[in-house]
Amino acid sequence: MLNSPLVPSGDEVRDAAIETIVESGPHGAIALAGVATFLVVAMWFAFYLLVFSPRAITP
Amino acid sequence: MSDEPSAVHDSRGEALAAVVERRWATICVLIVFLFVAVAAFAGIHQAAMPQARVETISPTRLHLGGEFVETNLGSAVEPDGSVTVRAIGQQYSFTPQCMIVPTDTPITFRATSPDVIHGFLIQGTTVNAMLVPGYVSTISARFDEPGEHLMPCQEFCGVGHEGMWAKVKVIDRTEFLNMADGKPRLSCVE
Repeated sequence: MLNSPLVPSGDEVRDAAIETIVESGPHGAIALAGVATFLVVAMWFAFYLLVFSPRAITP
Repeated sequence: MSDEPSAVHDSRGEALAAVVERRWATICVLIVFLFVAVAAFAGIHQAAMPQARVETISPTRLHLGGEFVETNLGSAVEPDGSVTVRAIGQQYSFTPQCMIVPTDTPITFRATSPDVIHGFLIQGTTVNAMLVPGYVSTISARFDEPGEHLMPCQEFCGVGHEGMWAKVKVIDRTEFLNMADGKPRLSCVE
């Protein structure tokens, strides 16, 4: 018993599955951060082009 | 040692995460540079510029002579075709109370205060400056459309502050030049 090969336990199978997912890259985090950053940048440019610039050039 | 394959997996996952983080940091830095570049362009391209020079004047002698004596206030047509508007803000009114300017003309507002700090703000435009006793505020503007703009004092200047306001009336350039013909200074009443 003591020298018998180790059988993968439930935890090890789960860990292996998690590692496979981690190796494929943080797609969800990139998508979330990308959308959030895009919204901030888009709002900044919308304010700059639609409010700031027209008022600066033409009183 | 069943830990070994797991350690290899971890390090590959970690390496990938580090690469993604570095790329994301690069993108963030580029976005910051883009914002700074756009702000610099706005400043250099005259879209947003502070007053370029400091001009002083004695606040106690404004009414006695010089540029801001009462007869010199109002709109004046310059030899180059531009219009200069001189005004004073004092507790609790602007003089002239109604300024008249033409459309499609470079306008220079020159204003100061003989008592306390007042605000020179023309609603619906970017004209927004402080009138500080002892200093002349110079503001450039251009109006494309005829109309009337309210000009409230926007710096708290005392108990009568809320009643301190003037108007800027923008009229057609030809009409303005007809009115200005033969008159050294113009305001709405003339």
